Amino acid sequence: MFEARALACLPDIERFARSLTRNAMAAEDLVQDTYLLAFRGRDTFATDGNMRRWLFSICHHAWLRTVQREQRVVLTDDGDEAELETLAAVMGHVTAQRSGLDRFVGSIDVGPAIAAAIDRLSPPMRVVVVLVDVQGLGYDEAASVLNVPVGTVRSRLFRARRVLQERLFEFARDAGFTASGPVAERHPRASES
Amino acid sequence: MTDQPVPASGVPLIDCDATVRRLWDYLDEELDTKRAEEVAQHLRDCAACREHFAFADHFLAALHQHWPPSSAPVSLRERVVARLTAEGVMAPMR
Repeated sequence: MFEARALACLPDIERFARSLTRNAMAAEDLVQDTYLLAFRGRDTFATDGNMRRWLFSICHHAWLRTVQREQRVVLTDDGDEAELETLAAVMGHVTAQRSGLDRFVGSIDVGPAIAAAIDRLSPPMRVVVVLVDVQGLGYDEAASVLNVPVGTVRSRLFRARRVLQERLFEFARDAGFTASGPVAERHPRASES
Repeated sequence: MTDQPVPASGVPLIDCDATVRRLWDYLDEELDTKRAEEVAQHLRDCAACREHFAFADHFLAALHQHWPPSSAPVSLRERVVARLTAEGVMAPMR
């Protein structure tokens, strides 16, 4: 039944809307608009389709219409820098290994740092992290929701992860996090820089 | 493009650079079987790369675990249903 399937997705849609708006009231407005658009357009939903992904897409489009009308977000051309971002993330790990900061990511204190780091991401990066890392969508599914090429999803995702890692290391350093124990063997190539 | 050496296992060897470039694609299970097996083969032989992949895997797990959960209250569902009903796109719930 369409109604039951759609409403069952409400917690995921609310979380997605909150990641877009970063504001509880604005998120509720966006959820309301999403469901209204979805129910008005229910005939366009294929009964064997993925309801959650369909609602994500509607929610994202509704949010884009709002922010572009208010000119609050400029979506930049991402380019194809995915592999460079991946390498940069590995280099960041190498640097963090040297001071033991990498161990912070596995500590019990990492929650607030992650929340703060996520909050500072730009909306285009935050959205793709939510879809792939939190909701578990594949790159192609996220691309379909956002109506962008798969390469754009990869670029934004990998950049976001690199930025998040850097901010976690910054947080750990500022908090005076230290870790004792032997320093692991370094990656020969990555250690050259 | 040069041919890569092929070990007895039949999977072409790739170097550390090629391996870490595939880090996120591998962990997200976005690689095709052949490319994924090339990474897996390299990781079996290279402790340093294994360490990078293990860290990245822990990072993704932490990200997933600590993302703020949905805070949608029951009342939000009620308000959504009320609006859908008021707009005439959903039959009143009995």
